[in-house]
Amino acid sequence: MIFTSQVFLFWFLPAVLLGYYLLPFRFKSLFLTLVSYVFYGWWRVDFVLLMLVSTVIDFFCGRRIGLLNERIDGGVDPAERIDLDRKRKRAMLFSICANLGLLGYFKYWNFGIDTLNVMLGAAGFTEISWTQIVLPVGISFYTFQSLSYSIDVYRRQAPAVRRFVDFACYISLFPQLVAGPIVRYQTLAAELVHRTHTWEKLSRGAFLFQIGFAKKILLADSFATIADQCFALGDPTTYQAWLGSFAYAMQIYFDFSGYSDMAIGLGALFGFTFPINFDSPYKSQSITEFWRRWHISLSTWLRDYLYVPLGGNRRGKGRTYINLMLTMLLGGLWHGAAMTFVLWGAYQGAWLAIERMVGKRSLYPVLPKPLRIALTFVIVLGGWILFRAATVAQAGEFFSALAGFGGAADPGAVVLSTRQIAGCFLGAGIVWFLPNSQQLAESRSSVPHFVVAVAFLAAIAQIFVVSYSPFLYFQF
Amino acid sequence: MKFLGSLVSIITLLVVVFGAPAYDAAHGNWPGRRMSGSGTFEEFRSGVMAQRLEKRLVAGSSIDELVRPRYNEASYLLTGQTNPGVVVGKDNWLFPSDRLGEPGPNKREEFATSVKAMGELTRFLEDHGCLVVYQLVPRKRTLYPEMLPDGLVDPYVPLFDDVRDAMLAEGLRVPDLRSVLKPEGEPLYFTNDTHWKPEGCRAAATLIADYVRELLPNGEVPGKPMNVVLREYPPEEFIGYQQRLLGFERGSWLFNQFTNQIRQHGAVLEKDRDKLCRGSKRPQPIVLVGTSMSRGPYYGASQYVGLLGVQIEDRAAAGYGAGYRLAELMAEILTKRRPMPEVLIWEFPEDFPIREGRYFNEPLLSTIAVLGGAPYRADPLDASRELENVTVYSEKDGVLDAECEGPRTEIIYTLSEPIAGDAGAVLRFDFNVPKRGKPLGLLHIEWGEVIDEKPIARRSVLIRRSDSTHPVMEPLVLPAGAPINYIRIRPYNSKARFELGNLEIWTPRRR
Repeated sequence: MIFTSQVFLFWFLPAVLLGYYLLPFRFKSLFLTLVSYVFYGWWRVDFVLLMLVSTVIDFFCGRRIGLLNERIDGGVDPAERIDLDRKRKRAMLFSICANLGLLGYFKYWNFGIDTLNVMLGAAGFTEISWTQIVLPVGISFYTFQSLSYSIDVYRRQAPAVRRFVDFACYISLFPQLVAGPIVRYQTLAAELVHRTHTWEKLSRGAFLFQIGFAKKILLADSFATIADQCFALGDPTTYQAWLGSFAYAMQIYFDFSGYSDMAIGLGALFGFTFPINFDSPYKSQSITEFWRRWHISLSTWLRDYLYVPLGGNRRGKGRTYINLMLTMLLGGLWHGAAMTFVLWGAYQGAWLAIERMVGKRSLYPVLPKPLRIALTFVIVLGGWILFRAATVAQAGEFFSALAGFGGAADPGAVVLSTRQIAGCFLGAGIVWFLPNSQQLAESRSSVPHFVVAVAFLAAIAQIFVVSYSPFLYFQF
Repeated sequence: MKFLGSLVSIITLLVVVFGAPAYDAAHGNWPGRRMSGSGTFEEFRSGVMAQRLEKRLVAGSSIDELVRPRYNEASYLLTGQTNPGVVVGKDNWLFPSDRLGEPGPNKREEFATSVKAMGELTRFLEDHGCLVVYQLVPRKRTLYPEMLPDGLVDPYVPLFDDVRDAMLAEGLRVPDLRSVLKPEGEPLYFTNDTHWKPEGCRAAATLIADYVRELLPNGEVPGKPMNVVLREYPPEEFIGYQQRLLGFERGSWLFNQFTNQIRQHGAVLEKDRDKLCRGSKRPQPIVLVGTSMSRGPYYGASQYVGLLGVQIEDRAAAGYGAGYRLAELMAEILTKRRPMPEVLIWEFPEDFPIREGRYFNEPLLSTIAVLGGAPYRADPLDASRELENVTVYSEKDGVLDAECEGPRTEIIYTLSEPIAGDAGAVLRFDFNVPKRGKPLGLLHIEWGEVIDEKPIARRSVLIRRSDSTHPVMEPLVLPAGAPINYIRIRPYNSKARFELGNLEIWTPRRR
């Protein structure tokens, strides 16, 4: 079920809101869990079982680690402590292996076999035949959430959950189930047990849901048309490559941040406080800053559960660069099993490493702020080309066209209407000159609420006419 | 101040999410009414059932009917943008948007195959005494390019000249209708539709009728004389296809800006002037094969009845394209269901040989293959050569007269007597799709010696409509020596219900 579909808006959401607010608190989490399973099962019922398996494994691993933590905290002799620590570690490793095993099988098996077959074919051997595996929606997100729980409990950063329903609710919570934000258990632990439903939360939730909805329907989908046209061209011209990458940059921002706004808004409607996921990323003045503002829940997850355990910046400069590269490579691979994502991760890692390397000698500080933002945006565009291109070869064509070696595509193949040109300026204006959704939600003025309500109603009218498109991050 | 904003946000959301189902309920359109139906466990497991349910919930909602036209109207008034498929030109002239404004080639190769096929069929018919006259209809875009919106270019200019020149070069009779279809004053085409007005149909028929009369020996028109007079009906409102495509609220002020007037014309019996004579469905010496341009409310056959004074066989149909109806006529001629007509008027718009593409060509090419292949190689209509309708199937495997679920369902006819490899045959059967069904799309036919081994040949037939019988005629052109033991018929990618009539295989009588 998609947030922008009529079935979600007019049937699922009112039914859930009604049920949720009519039930006493002790049943609310159970109710949310059940409706979240319905929400998820709308795609494929059998994938609900997969999520349930993942939930059960991590619940029991967490419980085991929690019990062992309690025993250690109760006071044990050093020899027993070593033994208990080993058991704790074993439970955590089991959880990691189970989660990564599921993720690896469903997400990377096809890619692995394809790559192997290419090598086998090149070496003259018979290729392996297998049935393509369907990727369960949102598996990357709930697997990371689930993992964060086991690791947090192991690290004693969060208590082990006592009620299965609370944990199942945390994993399956439909507002952020399929495309984030990746909410860590410790963030929600208290609210799963007790949460308040206030006027402020309701207002903030309604506002964020509406602004996210409008961003997706009115902006992201409009930019998608331009981006799709440009990326469908073989060998684009310089103008088409710049236009296509700009349009895609806008599309992915409005699409994904729109989804995040809706998720955070829905969470607030049910009393939860999800962390912010986008903080005006295109206003960044460096790639390092960009990654502090873009998909914040993923970048902090990668920082805390990958970069820091790898050693972070504590083991010398060389190791820091390697760690940055490795973290971003795996971040790229997390987005999808394709060479373009791997290269995208390497590209981001390389820029992070370069910025770290150059440090204070950076060119950035000598540039005025608008130029620093523009330069960073251009670097980000390069990344989006790798992210969007169907193949490495297509990305190469785009890079070559960006550099002025325009291709042979018909220059008249992409002609923007007046409305589209106006849309481009509007999008750019919103991205660079307006406060972001969170800032608007916190604004003391009522004007944003009125403007967003009108935009929301326009977007609602549009979904009746224009066939809806799924969110970009559903594929990850 | 902030409180007001919060109130607006909350109320907007609640009104939208609770308002839509409430509006449906208030109109007696509870979602439960649209949730009927069942499915298999596999459909439930794989999410197909959920998708179906979602479709039903959305499709029939009252709120959808409320919002959609208003959105379209607001979008048109505020931005000038309309639904895809329709372009608003000057003075509210509406045009279909297909390929308008796109850089498009205007190459003769695009219609060369069609013109060549028309030439072959025409020569065959004329060799057997049938006069063939083409009624090539210019598009609205060709006649009134000045009414297109500024900046939009028709990629196919001058299509009419190019197609007509190619047809003339092939030796076909193609009178130039442009001379009568753009008079001074009131246009002869609707501004809200692609079709001509009945006056346009009358003007074209007048020119063609005079042309035919001149070609007939002594100007004598064959056929059953009809005592008719031409009549003009009072004007009525006409809502065109492009007007409906705008998606505005029917009857609204904006919608009515595009409404035209129609004044029907046609032949009526002298003794009963209220009854429009629409031509005959039974074989007549003069046949009109055509498209929607010759159907109601234009009634091409009726115009010809009035102008020529004889009964006309009306084989015009909307939605079939130009090639299919002619192939159907040819199938009847070749299987001796009807005599050869004396005059054939074949009407179609100038862009059909391109726009219809393979759907125009395939029926013609199949027919030509029959004409050129055994058993007709010498002369298919030679009276001394006997043809036999051999009912050959002895065993049917698969589902017949039943619901067809997906591409794997097929019907295999195992022939009790193989068709000899050097004989050749025409396969003919009626393919009936009930009125309430999905269009079928492609029908695959293959024939060969041993089932499940490589077939001798296969062919795809396009089933275009869901509401009628399709007489399918396929030539079985055989390589020497390979007998046919089975025929397999398989609809492709469809869940529509269908029925198959008797399978007939026409071969030369064995001696």
